[in-house]
Amino acid sequence: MSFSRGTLATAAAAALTVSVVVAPPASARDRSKPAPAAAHADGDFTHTPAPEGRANTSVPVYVEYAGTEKLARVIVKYRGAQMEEWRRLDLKHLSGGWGALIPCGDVAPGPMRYYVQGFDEAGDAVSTSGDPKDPFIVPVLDEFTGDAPHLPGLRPPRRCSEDDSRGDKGEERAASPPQTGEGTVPHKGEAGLEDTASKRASIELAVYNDSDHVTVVTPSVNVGIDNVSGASLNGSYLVDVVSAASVDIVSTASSRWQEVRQAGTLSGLYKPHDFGVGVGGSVSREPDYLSYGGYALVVKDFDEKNWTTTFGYGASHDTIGRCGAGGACTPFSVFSRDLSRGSFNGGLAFVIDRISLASVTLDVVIENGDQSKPYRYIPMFSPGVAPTVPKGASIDWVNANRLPERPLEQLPLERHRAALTGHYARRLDGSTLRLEERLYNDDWGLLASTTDARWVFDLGSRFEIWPHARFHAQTSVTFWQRAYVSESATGWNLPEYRTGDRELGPLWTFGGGLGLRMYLGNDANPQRWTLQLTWDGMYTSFLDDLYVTERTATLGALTFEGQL
Amino acid sequence: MRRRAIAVAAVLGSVRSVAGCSTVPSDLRVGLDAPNSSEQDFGPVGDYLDHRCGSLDCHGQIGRNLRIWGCEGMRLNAADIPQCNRQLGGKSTTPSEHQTTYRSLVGLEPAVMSTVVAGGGLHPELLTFVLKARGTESHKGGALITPGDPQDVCITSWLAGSTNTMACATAIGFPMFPALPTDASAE
Repeated sequence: MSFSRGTLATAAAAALTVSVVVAPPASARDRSKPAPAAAHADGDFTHTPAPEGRANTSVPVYVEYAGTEKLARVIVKYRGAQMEEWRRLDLKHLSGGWGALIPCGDVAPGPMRYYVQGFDEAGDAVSTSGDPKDPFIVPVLDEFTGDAPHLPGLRPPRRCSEDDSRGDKGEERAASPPQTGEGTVPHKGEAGLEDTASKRASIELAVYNDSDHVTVVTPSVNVGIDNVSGASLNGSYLVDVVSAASVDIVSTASSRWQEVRQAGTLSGLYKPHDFGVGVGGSVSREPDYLSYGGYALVVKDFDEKNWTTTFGYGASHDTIGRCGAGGACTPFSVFSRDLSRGSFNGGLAFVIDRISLASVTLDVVIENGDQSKPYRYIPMFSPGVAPTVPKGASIDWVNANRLPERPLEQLPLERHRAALTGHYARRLDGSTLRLEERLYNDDWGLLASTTDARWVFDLGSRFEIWPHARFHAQTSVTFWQRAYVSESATGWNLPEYRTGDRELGPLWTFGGGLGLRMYLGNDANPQRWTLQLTWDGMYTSFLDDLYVTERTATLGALTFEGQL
Repeated sequence: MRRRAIAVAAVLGSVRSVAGCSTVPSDLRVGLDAPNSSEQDFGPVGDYLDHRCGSLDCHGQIGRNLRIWGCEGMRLNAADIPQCNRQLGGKSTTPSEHQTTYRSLVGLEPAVMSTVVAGGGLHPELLTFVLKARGTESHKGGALITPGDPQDVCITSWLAGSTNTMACATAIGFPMFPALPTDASAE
């Protein structure tokens, strides 16, 4: 049987199928500040730029951070004398700080400009030193006039050969340990810089339970890798174990059922500079449902990453089947329905000021096919009885008063959805406030608003705690009826569209909860291991439904994440 | 404040316009190309269904999507007992019970039923109740009929517009499901 996806999310929230991948914009810097001093910069990081660089020789960048933010990632954005665009490089966590070598292939005579940014777990830029208009500058000469700069505890990087210094090959060699001669003996620290990709993995266990006797247990695993060249790859796999004896099931004289859904995603993004492309795919399989899809998107930064736009398109195809007693399923070749979906989205993320970010995303989804539930039969009432059907009428009442005909649910065969979502994040003293508002509408007449707020507080350097609140309200689709009428006196005269899906009816939901994140790594890198616990409670009021008038639910999740 | 309200209205308006210029009408009605409902046409089918599928622990329950009324199971009149044998206080299935069963059966899948009937009954396998009865689809009662046997002919001939009453009469001879330990088919 198909688990009603609406149980976990409202119709509005379920509308969007293409993930919006928006590169975190650069944190704006107070431009009233003077240019950073050459020896020691202002900003959130402590950093002493190299006094000089040498052409075709990697430039070491080492920063230390003593702020209160929990940095998950630190990058340097640099632009050599002959580069037209800024290039990004991930800094590795070194003892006491973060460091990396700007590839020798990008080091040409002239000024080497760069600035440093730190990002939190959510990918928001929360700390910075320097900015595109006010960067650190290292003069790059043909030869050193003094000591060659180096990362703490490491030997100075060697000069690349002519061949090495071109293109990617040069970058690869620059990050490789030296091999012979002075400064060419490999040692531990430099060998550690070889792997410039950051890898992460997480496992999660989520449990949902509601007062309608639905329980969902979801273990999942996520892995990701980011390369300094701007490439990233992410994958996920989850299993939903659903056990349900909801009123919709009981009302058709069926018993509790269980089923397992498996879903996997794979996505990649390549964004070496200010333009990127991404692709992804997903597949979901349960005994009576198969869904697969893919998407592609482009990302473009403007005004030195103060603006980022995203455009994407996705397509998916669902095959809806049917299972019966004992979990035996009818082959798709005997019974199935097809549902195709095309999704467009466009997003704009922008920096408001040095502590505030915002984004706006528009999603449009076009669905074609019969998405009526093949298990859901709709009770019909005579014209005289229909007005007397009480809200939340019991199963027994409905069975005693309905007409003999109880047709299958029938939804329109096409649906156009649109959602406009706005995000706002503001860094406060010791906390971060995140707000989200989503407006949704479709041509079935459903209009919805979802407001979400999260306020993350820092508790020392190893703990974060946040309250969370969410409110959702929606109207019904135009063809929604608590009690549908069959004009049996005049032969067959049924409502063409009929549904019992409560997620298509009028409702509101209020929810709230708490989250706790603990950083369990060592003192040098506490964020290497993260344990997160969230719990939310939700109350939903169904305003014009049969069988139920309210639902309470809880959703908890335990996540363990590591940087590998 | 007014500007803010105008802005919100503009945003809502733009989302609405993107979602679609028009919405699905709320009051569309649909008819049905239904198979014959007369006592002569459906009565034998109803009797067979009552015998084979309408026991009180199967479709002779008020909570089922497909409800079947008849003297072997669920009665329309609360005063009647589930017994066909008059000598045992029973009463034959009434025309009203046949009609109520008919509406429950035909009303299950209006669109598919229309397609089958409009097609002269050539593709009864489009109907879920036929698929389940044949065991092609998962059915708690299992596969009860075989394509071409008298039970199947009884149903499909009715869907085709000409009920084979002989086949229905023969189908009544198939055991009640689930089989009862006592003689429940007397009369």
